[in-house]
Amino acid sequence: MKPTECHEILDLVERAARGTLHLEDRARFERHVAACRRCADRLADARASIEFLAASPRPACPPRVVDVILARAMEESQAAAVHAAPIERARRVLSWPRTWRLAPALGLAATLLLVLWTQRPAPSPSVADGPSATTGDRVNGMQAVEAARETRVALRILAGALQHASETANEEVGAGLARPVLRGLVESIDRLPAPFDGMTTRTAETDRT
Amino acid sequence: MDHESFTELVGEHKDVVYALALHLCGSREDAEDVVQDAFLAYWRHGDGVPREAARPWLLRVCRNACIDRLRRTRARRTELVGLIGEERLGSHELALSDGGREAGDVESSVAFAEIVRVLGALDEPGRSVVILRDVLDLTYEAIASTMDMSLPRVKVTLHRARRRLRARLEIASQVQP
Repeated sequence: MKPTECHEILDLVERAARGTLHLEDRARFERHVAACRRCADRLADARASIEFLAASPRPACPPRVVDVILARAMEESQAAAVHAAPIERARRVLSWPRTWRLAPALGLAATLLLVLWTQRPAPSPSVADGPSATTGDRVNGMQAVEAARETRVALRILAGALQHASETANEEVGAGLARPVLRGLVESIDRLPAPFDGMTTRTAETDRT
Repeated sequence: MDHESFTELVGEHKDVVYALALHLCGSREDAEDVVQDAFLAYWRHGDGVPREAARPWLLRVCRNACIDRLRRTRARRTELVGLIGEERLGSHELALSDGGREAGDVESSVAFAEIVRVLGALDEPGRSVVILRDVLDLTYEAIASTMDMSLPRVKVTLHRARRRLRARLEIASQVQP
């Protein structure tokens, strides 16, 4: 028997085993099986398996299983909703349109911080430096103190204006985020003057002595 | 996926998934656990699965879970046989299985126990393919999709598993008077 013929007959074996073979195929199939030991065995195997497993029960899934599945799915979705609430809120706060409205204030705050950092005073001569500090060092130190004082005033005005703007924009979610940043900025500027003021006096006294 | 669609999906596929689990695990309790896990896995991760592919997906998850359980059970049994011996363990299991039966339960009938025993003697993936084809009446295409196999491979696997099953049945009939 040619293998190609066996291959063609393969689907018919399945149908024959299930008793659904078409009448027009029956003669060809029976002729082939009578002559082909392999296909006869295939048919016997398929019949044995189908007949044996036909007796197998197919009980419906118990309703209690379905109840458990649906209840647990519901519980999990509720738990997930509770867990996702803060994340969702943060996502809304940081969503692009709101962040965009806040961008100028944040940009200004960042610029102020940068300016503060770059304008920090250089080490100045003091009484402790004694006779080793030259007149040139003292002049440079005084100039640095003056520059820092002017910068402080400018920064204080800018930061105060920004803080005022953020506090008046109560409805903006972004303003809520900017407010503490700006408040911290103003406080840090306010903390700056004390050492500078004393330093000028000390330098002048040192010059007199 | 919303809860309503999920309820609909469970109603549509629960019986076929349960039948596969029952025939693979051979125990009602295990089958119920596996079915629950399979559907909840779909609830958690099934968003990317198209609706028409839900059945093969569920059957695949169910089959993998059953195979894992069987592997663990066999490993435990081997340990117990080493500890108390095959004979004592066998009589203990028989007492347990008799006690677990409920009147009218097809899952715990003697005929079903025999079917599970014969199917259990087959290797994977042949056993799964035989169950999908000869118990659940799935088409070759559906089996190929569930088992992630090509159609010719499904046919060859089915044929080999049936041959083995028939040989088992013949041996059993010779042993019985």
